[in-house]
Amino acid sequence: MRVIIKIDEYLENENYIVFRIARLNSHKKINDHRTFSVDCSDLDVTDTESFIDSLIFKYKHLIQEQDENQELLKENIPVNVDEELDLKSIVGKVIEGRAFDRPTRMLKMRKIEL
Amino acid sequence: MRHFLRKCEEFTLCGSVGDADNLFTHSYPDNYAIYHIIIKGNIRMARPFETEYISLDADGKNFVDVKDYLYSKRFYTSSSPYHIFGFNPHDPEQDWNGRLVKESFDGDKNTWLICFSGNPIINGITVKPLDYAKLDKKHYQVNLNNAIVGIFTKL
Repeated sequence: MRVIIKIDEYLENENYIVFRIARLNSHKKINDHRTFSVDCSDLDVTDTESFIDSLIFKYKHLIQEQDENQELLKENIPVNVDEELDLKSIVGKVIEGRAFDRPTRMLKMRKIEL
Repeated sequence: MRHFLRKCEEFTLCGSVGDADNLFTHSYPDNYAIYHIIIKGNIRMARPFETEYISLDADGKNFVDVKDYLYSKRFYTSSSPYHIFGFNPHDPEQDWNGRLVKESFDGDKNTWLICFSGNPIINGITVKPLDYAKLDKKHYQVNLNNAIVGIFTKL
């Protein structure tokens, strides 16, 4: 994933920065993403590359949080589908699934009434 | 090794299948298992650099409370081919009580039943592995048939 950050402010006395982070191909402007503040003493200040790398490494989870908090486009809202697969009936429907970083697959379970 | 996951109404069940001498890490927040159930093989689970560990054994200690490890980094090693599950509440702050079903029992509305292996007959219904059910406040007549069935109650 390619990431962009924008530092809005450097609070020199406190050694804090206020920044925004987003995916490079986000459809929202960087200025429309919320700001976060971070103590620079927690980051690698050896050089710019190290600084940016440590900032992204530490806060990359914020990108996913932001993505998940973003309002869904009306056209992207998934619908519930029948458990029984009927390919004809799901053509044209928006269906939700999950993609995992690690090789995790769906556990096949069945809900029953006892 | 292969990992599996299924998000159900109030919990997520995760599973892992692998060979002997596998080593994997699986920690909070991806893993917030409070109970482990093993139906094949042996697994040891520990926090890195600690000498204490939890032993899971399909032929012995096969249902283990691991709430103490909820927010910890965990690693797992197998000494034989294994098949393990983890019961993860959706809200890690919410406590649950889990146990294996050994005989007929009275249910309640806060309890879920999960069949991990075998084909028990419960209230006249033949249950298959990985079938699950929300229970009611009623009696459940169980013919276990050597199956491994767990019940988990939201406290």
